[in-house]
Amino acid sequence: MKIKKGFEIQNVCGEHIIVPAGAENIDYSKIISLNETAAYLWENLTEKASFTIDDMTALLLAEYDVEESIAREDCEMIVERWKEMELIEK
Amino acid sequence: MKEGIITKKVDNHLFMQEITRMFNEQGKKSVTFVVRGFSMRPFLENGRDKVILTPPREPKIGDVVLAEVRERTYALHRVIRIKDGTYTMRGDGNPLRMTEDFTYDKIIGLADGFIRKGKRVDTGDRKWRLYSAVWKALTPFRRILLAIYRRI
Repeated sequence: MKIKKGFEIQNVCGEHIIVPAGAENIDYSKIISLNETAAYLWENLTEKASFTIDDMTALLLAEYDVEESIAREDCEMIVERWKEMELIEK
Repeated sequence: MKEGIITKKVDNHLFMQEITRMFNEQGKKSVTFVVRGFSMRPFLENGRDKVILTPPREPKIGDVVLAEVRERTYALHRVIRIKDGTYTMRGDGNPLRMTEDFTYDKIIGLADGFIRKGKRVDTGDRKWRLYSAVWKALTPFRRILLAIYRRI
C-alpha cells in the first residue's frame, strides 16, 4: 500500500493535521489530526513508493520502546483508520 | 490512538495568529471555521454555523469583519460606520450601544460567506443582501426580535 499523493502535514496550534496540498481554502471544521506517533509514521511513509505493516512496525520499533506485537497491532489499527479516511491506496 | 471525530476548542489568540499565518505565509485564499458566541444572532448560531474568511482588505459598511477590538479580544461583527480611518462594528445580535472601534491594522479577515445550517450563503448572494437589509430596517425593534428568537 501507499499514501495517496496530494496531502501534506501542517502544524496547526500544536496539532499535526493533514491537509490537501495546495488547497486554496483550509477548513478548520473538518481536519484530520494525527498524534505524535501517527505523524512520525506518516512522515516516514509518505516518501515510500509502497510499504507494508512490517515496514510500519519496524519504524515504530526504531523510535519507541514497545513490544513488537503491540506495535504491529497499533499499525494495523492505524492503517484501517487511514483506509476509512481514504488516505491510503493499494 | 484517538478514534473518531472530536471537536477541539483552540485558544482564540493562537487561532488568530494561525489564520494570519495561513493567509500570509501559506498563501491560502480563505479559511473556514465554526463560529463561537451569540453576537451575530439570528443569522449565525454558536457552534453550528461556519464562516468563510478571506484576507484583510478595505471593508465597506455592511461587511462582516473579524478584528482585534481590544488586546487579545476578537470579534466577528458587521461594519456600521467608517470615519477617518476608524471602523465601527456591531454584532447583529448585540445591544445597539455595544459597538467596537478598530483600525485597518487590527483586521484579521473579512467574511466572504457563511455556512448556515449546513448551507453555503455568500455575502454576494441575494439571500444575504436581503437579510442584511431587513435586519438593518428592523434595527429599532431589535431587542424584542432577539428576545423572541431566543425563545424559539
